[in-house]
Amino acid sequence: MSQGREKPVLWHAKAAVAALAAVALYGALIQFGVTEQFAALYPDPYQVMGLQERLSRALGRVPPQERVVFFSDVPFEEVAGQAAFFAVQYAFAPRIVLLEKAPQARQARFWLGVFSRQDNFMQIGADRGLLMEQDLGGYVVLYRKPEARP
Amino acid sequence: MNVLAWLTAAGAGWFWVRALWPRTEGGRLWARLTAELALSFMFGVGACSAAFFALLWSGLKPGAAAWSGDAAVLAGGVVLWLIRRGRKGGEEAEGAARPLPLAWMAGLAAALSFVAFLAAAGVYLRANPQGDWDAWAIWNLRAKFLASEGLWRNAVSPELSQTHPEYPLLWPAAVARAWAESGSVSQAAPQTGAWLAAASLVLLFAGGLATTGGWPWAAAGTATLLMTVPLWRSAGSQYADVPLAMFFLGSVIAAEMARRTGWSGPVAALSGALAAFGAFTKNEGLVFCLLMAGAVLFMARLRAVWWLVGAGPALAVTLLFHWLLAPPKSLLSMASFQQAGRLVTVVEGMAGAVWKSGGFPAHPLLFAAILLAVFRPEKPWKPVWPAAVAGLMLCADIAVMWGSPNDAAWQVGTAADRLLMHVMPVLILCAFWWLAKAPEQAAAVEPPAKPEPRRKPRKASGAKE
Repeated sequence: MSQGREKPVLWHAKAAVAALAAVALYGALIQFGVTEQFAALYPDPYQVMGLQERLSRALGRVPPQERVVFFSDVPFEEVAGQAAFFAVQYAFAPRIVLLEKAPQARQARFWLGVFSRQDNFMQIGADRGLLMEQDLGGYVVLYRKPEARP
Repeated sequence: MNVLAWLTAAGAGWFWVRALWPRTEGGRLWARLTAELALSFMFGVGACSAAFFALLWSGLKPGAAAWSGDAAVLAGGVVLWLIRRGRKGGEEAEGAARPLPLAWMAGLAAALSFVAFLAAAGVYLRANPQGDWDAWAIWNLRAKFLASEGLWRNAVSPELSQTHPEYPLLWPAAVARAWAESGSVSQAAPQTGAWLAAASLVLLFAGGLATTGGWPWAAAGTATLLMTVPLWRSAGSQYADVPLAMFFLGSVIAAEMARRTGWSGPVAALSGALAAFGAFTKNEGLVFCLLMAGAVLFMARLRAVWWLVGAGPALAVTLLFHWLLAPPKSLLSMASFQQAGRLVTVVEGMAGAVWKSGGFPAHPLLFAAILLAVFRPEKPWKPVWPAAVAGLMLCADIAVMWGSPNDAAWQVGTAADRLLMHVMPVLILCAFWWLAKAPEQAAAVEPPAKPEPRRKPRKASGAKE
């Protein structure tokens, strides 16, 4: 490398490192800000922890080996319906939660309804041949088949 | 204990790493310690979790499986460490590092970015203890099954058709192990695991780079790595993607260290073990493990047997899991491969993910390119094999998304940034390995820098790049 090129190369190198440091720090601050803002605005956006706490009251009534059938007035095709299903599955684990349309659902003794609004929950259960076991609040209801013993 | 279980795993892993990692005499001791610390976490978590799962499968209860697995990993590590603690010899220096002007600025930026990164992950985990969608829908859910006495097989039940029961189980096993040892199911376990995995990934990157480039290039590389936006997004998500990226990086660094030491058997075995832990973490890890095996076999020839010895146990568990436990699921469809439009969608999606992998002007690939253009590392760039493995991994990712039976746009939209994040640390590390290597004339160009102590190079025993 010729002597004539040395100074510009060193200058370029210093500029590149200075730019890297400044931009990296800027990027880190932006990312921290975005993360903090998102966390503040949307803590637990799908209410997983809230549902887990609500369902914890029902866990003692459903043996761990049981299958629990999930149904809702929000279709599973919608994100909210999927979120409710997976959140219930997480809260009820190690019990397996099934969708109402699953072939094994008929044999399940315990059913859980998660609704988006107030309704006649007892009637909704009766339409499926279920007895209302416990209203867990927040439009969440535990049902059981008539022959099931808690 | 939800927190302590991760540290006890790292403690058990420390003996293994101390026994297998090459020793340096003087020089960049702090770099070696940083790399060892991160590797201890990776190896310890990987080994303890794989052992926990294997013992659970053999019929032990979760608590017994967790403690027995830990004891086995710890005992094996202590024995190996006692056998090898008196050994001589160390890593081969690849020549002096190129001096970096204004290194203090890069150091300051890297340190502050790392603090911000850890703080952001902590803030996110605190606000979202349940993690992101896949954490509670897949990974931690399956951990709950594994931690439940007599019900661990629910984690692979075909009834969980919405929950990917066919996915490998290392990370759920890692969380379940913490729960089994603590005796309580608390979100603190996956939260701590996610935070420590993110920290280990960055620390290993810095340590792996510092062993060749010294702290200036480690700082510049770390500052560049922390421009990777998907890394920030994933750090607090509690997904298995950050641990997978961690295993990828660990395996590559260990294999490169093995190459430099004439394919030292122990460190090659460490590389194999970390790649196999990746294979048991996600399906992408199995592809990576095969690519790594091919690369090591190509470079090391017969010495690759050490790599396979290291990979053997965890790889056996992975393959047995897929053959005997995981419900069958078709990942590829010939009909999808016949649709060229799907390939276009996937390539467009991946290109978009590359573009969005940084927040301009803070883009890791942009700055890696700028530094390569400015510093002009001498060709041929060495080592090139990690970039080749990472590139092939991305090609495999694209091929799988192309052939997936799922909607291509949805597939690439939900996965592209995470797939890119798996290999981004390896690609950036590779670029900085090239940059850090001093050309003959660099000493004349740059102002005199603080000399790094040089170690006597050792001849590679017939190994080739």
